[in-house]
Amino acid sequence: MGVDGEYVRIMIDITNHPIDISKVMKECRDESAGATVLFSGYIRDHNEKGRVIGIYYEAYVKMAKNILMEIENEVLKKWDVKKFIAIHRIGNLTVNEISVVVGVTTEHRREAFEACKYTIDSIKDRTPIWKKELSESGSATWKNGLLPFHIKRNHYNENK
Amino acid sequence: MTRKKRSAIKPLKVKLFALAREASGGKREIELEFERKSVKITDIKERLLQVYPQLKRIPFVLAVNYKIVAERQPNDNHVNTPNMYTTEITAEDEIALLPPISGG
Repeated sequence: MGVDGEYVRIMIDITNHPIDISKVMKECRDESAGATVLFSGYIRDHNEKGRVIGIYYEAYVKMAKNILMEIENEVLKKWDVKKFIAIHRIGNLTVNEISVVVGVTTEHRREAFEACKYTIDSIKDRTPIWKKELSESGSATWKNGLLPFHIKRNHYNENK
Repeated sequence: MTRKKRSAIKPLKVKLFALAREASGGKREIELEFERKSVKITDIKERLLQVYPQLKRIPFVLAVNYKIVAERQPNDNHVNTPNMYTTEITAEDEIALLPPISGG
């Protein structure tokens, strides 16, 4: 695992700024690795109830960063990961903007897919971030979610 | 005669988020005062529901110093998280009220 200053700085983040996906891809490159899987979550134009024009994201920033680091540590223990990036956006986002990105680089594709899925699933399970959906009619509703109990996913260990 | 203030510890601050924050008046942080020295997490929860009865309608968990407080039996100490009934809270601890999360 390459641990130069730049890499450490960008590994995990909760940010107000738009996520630059090409920069993330570039940061994920590692000449010893053959596979990078990148997951990006976008604001879509609808939900179960109708049209959505944007989403406001709020985070308990310090705890959210702690949890992202905790997830990263779990990933580094489970898989031989060369590069790892997880960034979640907060603030007001509009349709087509990126809300979350996870990039994982490993030697071969299988580990990269597994580690990437584990990361995004864990982010959704336990990172203290909330979304409020803004509908076309002007109403704004906090999305129903799950309580952030500390669930460690053992799924992949069991399958190995 | 001056009345001696019996407040034993500094007010405790509780951070509120999202739906829970809006339901309790919109403040990002509120203060709770206790008249006794030893305050447990369960006392904080009880007080929050007393001051903001609206919170009874919202599922939530508390976090102390960024660790989720798991609801469990008073004698269950084998998990490395704050204990609702035994962990003592001081003004230096960071307490937060977290409604159901929805990141991603």
